Amino acid sequence: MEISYAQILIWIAYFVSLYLVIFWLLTFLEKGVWLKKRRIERFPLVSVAVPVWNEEGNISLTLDSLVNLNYPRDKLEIFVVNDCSTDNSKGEILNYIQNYKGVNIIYLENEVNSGKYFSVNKALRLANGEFFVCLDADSVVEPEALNKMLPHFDYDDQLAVVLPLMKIAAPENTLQKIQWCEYLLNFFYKSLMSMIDCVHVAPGPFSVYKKEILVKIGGIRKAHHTEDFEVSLRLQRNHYRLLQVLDAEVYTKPPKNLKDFYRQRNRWYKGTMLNLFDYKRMIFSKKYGDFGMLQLPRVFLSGFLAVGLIGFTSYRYILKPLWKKIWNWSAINFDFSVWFQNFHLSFNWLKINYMNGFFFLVSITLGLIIVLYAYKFTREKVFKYGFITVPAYVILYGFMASIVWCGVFFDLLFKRKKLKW
Amino acid sequence: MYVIFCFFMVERALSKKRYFIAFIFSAAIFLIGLLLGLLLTGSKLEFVEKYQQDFRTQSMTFDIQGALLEEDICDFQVEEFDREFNMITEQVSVMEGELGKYDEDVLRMKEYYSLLEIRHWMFIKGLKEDCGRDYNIILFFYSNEEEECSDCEMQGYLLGYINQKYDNVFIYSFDKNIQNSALGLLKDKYNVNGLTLVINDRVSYGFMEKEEIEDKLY
Repeated sequence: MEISYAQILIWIAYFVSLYLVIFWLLTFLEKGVWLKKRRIERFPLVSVAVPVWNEEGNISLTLDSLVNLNYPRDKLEIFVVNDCSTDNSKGEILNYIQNYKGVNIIYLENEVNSGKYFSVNKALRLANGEFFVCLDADSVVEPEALNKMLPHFDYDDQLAVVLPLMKIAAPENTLQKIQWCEYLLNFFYKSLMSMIDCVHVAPGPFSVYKKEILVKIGGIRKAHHTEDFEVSLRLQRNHYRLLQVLDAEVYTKPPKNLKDFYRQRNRWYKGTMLNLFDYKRMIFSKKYGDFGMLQLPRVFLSGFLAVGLIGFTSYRYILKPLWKKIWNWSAINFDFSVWFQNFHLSFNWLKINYMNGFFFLVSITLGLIIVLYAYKFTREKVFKYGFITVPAYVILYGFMASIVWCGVFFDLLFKRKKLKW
Repeated sequence: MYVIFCFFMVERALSKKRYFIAFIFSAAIFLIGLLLGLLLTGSKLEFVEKYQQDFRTQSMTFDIQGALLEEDICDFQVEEFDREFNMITEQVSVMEGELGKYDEDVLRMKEYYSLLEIRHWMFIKGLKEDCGRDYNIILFFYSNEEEECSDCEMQGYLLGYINQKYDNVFIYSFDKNIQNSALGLLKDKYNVNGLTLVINDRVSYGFMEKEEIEDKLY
């Protein structure tokens, strides 16, 4: 039997994916994802930073969700940092502060547009709280979130950050529904990772940091537009713990169209790659346990594998055959009428590739198990947004992510100087 | 300071046991898939070979019946015979696609297939010459080697189109690199050299356009 390079690459990708899925399923069977329920027994001061850049229309909702947190108001301080918005964000914020005088909301302004990390650090320097939270201005948090997240810190001195379950708020179109599905699966996975100290990124919206630790490791740094990833790497490098919980929820707005989706993911993936280059010594380092030996190599290699896979397979199975077809069609002067006249559906069992069929069945079964568990533990219904959402995610997401990875590699190889880091 | 700092650090564990068990499971699934593929490919080969054997038996039966009963060959209805032969053609082509053109089983299967083709060709040629049937017969000698014959694939595609378009065209494709004495005789008869087409006993060399082929059919 002749085996092509594309086939070998597909097998490698399949084996690696299979291995990782089985590894995480074993982790799930051994450790589960539910954490012990902790009741809040004390109400320490919590500082919240809300970096704002052109969030007119969104910022009031975000501040509403903070004000409505079921937490003593005198134990909350909210820093709204306007990063030179060009819309009416400032007016909306000041108006809000005037109307809610009972809440400690502090308005800050950057002199020049300086980026999210700068705004967050500005708030961090002024923060008096024992805990520090950042909430993006396009996200809202559920009222009980702090009560569910804070108690975990009382039982673990090395716990640096608690991550909430992030969900997509009311997805409207198919792209947003795909992301809704993606977030549920990702955060289910992240809760598994958390069980063996493998969380690699604490997302921007409402991750609760122990301020003392955050300050000790140097606060938030400028890091290729993915500061949340960098700070997580730094926490891991210093052997602190990142904990994912599934009972506290925060809702965010995803990109609505493919262009914005591509931009967002391009920024995330590019930032991931560049930060990983900065922290390359952690990759395959036993010093960091499973995080160094499994998680970081997985994150690092996934991009290469995605690009390799889509590059080779699309060349081997799409571009090359298509070119051949067009070439052959030219020989018959593109006269397809004959094929249409003689067209008949026929089944030939010899044409079935049983090996790939078996691999496909195993993947679908394991994938379904993961999806069902993810939905169960994130308290969502599989068909909440129609029957098409999950199949659309399964079929399209990998392809979409691979396309973004191709763009990232292209940018890194050919447009490096033009990147505005 | 670093030592004190480390003292309070999270103990980083390696889930070696889980790595190992996950590897065993995934390797087992992967091997099952590979073995299943190999076993079923083997059974596919057996099926095609058996089908070819049945066809040979059938064609021999026609020969013997004709000789013994002195049946008039001109009464013979070619459709069923032709349908089965086309089935074999498709099966050989599928197996070549799956196992590759250099696979030993495929080469053996193609050698046998070439003999069946010659047998079929002789039969159809007899019907054409002795019974005056309005048949067009094309022999196509090709090579699978890209450097030896870059136009062969395209010519094959074009002949597939001709075959679909005209009901009375019979096309026999022979891999000229298959070593078989009967095929060798046929190659010598038409002085095969590179891409060779024999349309109704007239020999042409090199790629032939659609219009040229159609002109030679009528």
